[in-house]
Amino acid sequence: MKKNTTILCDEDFVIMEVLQDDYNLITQDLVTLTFLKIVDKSCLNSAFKFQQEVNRNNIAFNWELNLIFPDETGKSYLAGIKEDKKIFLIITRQIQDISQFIAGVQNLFSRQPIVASQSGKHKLLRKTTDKDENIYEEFTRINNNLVNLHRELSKKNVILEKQQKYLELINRILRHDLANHFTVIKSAVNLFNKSKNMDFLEEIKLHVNKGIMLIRNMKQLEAVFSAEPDLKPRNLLSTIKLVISNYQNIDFEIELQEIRILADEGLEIIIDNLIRNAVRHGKTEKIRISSEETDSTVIIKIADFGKGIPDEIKDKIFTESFKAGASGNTGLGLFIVDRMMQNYGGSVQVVDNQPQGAVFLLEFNKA
Amino acid sequence: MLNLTLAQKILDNQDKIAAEAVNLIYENQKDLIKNYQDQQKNKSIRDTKYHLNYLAEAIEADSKSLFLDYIEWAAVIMENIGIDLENFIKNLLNTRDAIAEYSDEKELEILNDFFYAAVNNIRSNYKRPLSFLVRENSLYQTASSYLEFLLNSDRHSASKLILQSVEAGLPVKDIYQEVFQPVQREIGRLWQINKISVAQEHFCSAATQLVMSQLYPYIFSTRKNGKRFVAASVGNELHEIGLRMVADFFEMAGWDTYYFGANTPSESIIDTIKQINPDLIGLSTTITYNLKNLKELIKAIKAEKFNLKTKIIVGGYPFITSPDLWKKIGADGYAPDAENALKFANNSLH
Repeated sequence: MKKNTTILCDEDFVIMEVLQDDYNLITQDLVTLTFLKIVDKSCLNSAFKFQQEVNRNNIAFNWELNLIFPDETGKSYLAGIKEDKKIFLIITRQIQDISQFIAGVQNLFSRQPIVASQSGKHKLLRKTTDKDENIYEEFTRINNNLVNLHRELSKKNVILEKQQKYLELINRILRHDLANHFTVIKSAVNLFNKSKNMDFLEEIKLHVNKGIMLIRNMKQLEAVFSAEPDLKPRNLLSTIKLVISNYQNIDFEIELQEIRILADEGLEIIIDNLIRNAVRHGKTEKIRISSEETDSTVIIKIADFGKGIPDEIKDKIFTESFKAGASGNTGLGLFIVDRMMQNYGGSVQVVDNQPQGAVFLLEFNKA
Repeated sequence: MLNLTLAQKILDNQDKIAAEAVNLIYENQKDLIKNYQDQQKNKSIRDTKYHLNYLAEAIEADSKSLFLDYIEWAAVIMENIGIDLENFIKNLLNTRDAIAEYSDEKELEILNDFFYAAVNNIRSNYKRPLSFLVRENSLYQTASSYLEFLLNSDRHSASKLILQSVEAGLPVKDIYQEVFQPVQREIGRLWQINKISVAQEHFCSAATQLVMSQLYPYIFSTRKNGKRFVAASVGNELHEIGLRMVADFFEMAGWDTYYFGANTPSESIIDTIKQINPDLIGLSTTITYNLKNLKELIKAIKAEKFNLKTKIIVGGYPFITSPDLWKKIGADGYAPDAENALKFANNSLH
């Protein structure tokens, strides 16, 4: 490629951008630099005429002018093209040669300024180049990565918050409920020592058992608050049969088909907690378990014929630490059932049984 | 088979074909060059290479509609940078001539088939795309203000508008469907008709992704239904926002979702799939030339045979354009958007 200098000016020949400068013609700050400032005084007049011709005809070429180069002042060949109020100047130092002109035009059309005016007035809006587009794309990729990470972290954060709540709950149970049992045991031991009354031993036994139960429930709680449950198709009927084998004195009526529902290993805990609840609190002697199917769910009904649950506490029984009456144990059993059903994407509710007792409705997703 | 070899020829020779096509265009339209066109030469070659890529993919997938739709889209862009429909058509035919140099008679028949279909289609169906923000949209006002903030590079106000709407009780799901989705599409359109720059387009998408991530605490606290969804963008895909929105949508519907961004190695995706055992896998591509990667990934997943019940659903621009394409690449279904993906999931899992 032959040498050339290609400059972009405005209509007044104020230099805005230098697109190519093989001759190091432009060494000064562009802010106020005009074309005439690089023209030797000897040919200012011709330079003026050149400017006029470019402005009048939109094109001028084969002009010979003396320009001021860093090391010398010398003869140069110029062409100017005006387009859209902008003027492109192409300068070569060798005899006017069409290939140099074309090289200049090529520079002009690839238009990557090597120096650009800092003055706002003359600053041109640079077109987006391929290189810019690659950079934007890389930024978008970086941003995508960040958002993906953010998504992953937000998800993990929700799990952590859940586990935090679990730890708080355990802490509260240890400080409050377990401490309560020990306080009662301690004073019962004192009273027994003084009176040797065997009733105090019974009291101690009761509270030791309640403490053990609490610790057992904590194990269940761990399952409730663990990360995402590992839901698999489970056979409901066989789980129920397994659970009720522990309740020899209760009369069970099972009206169930082989149904597979989505649950994890905690399914046994749910069934057991509900049956235990009906036996302990409801004082029922008979339990009927039946089911009802919808398109996507299975509703299991566990009906007892005991004392029933008064309307005013129906809303509260699933909350943490709700204890009812003398038989109230850890207060965690139904809370655990509710939380586990939530983990399964299902639900639990309670309604009255006819003529008496309560019915717990468990809604599971079908496997 | 014929299609495959032709597509391969086009891809193998794309640099040469593009240069020759642009030379032909310039030779045949000398009057244009005088004015302005020369400065476009490099860009013209690049654009022609894009056309060739889309053409090769469409020929390989034996899907004329893929090419037709792309050409319709490109015609809008061309018109907005000053190349009118007739000139664009001339350019297309010059491109065909350049490819013809490399093809035999039968291949030329296929080429003509694709090119004339595309030309006839834009001649009879060409229309300027309309705004995606329509007054019938239930959140039209919010969407318009949101877009305006983005176009003013004011992401703080954009984010505030969305967070306040959510705090005021607007469901996140509605914001996804009625604000983010139409605004993203509108931004694409504004770029297509040369109203915003590439930089602005990238900024708007980046800002929207940021706003979305601020909604994650809401999205991830949804009650779970025990179902799992794994979503992955394919290849070097730049457009991740759509599929991530689908994953978020599933999460809001109670699914436990895992999203893999572009450039995740297939092995990692497959390992996670084995580990998580999802009910549904969602894969997406916007860029047509990622279809090959997508097809390979589906093949690799299916080869594992880890769970025959797990379905693979695909989405993205090529599938919207070419309704049967999902079958050709081995997927179990396709959905044009998040809501339909969820419908597919609910129908196919029961």
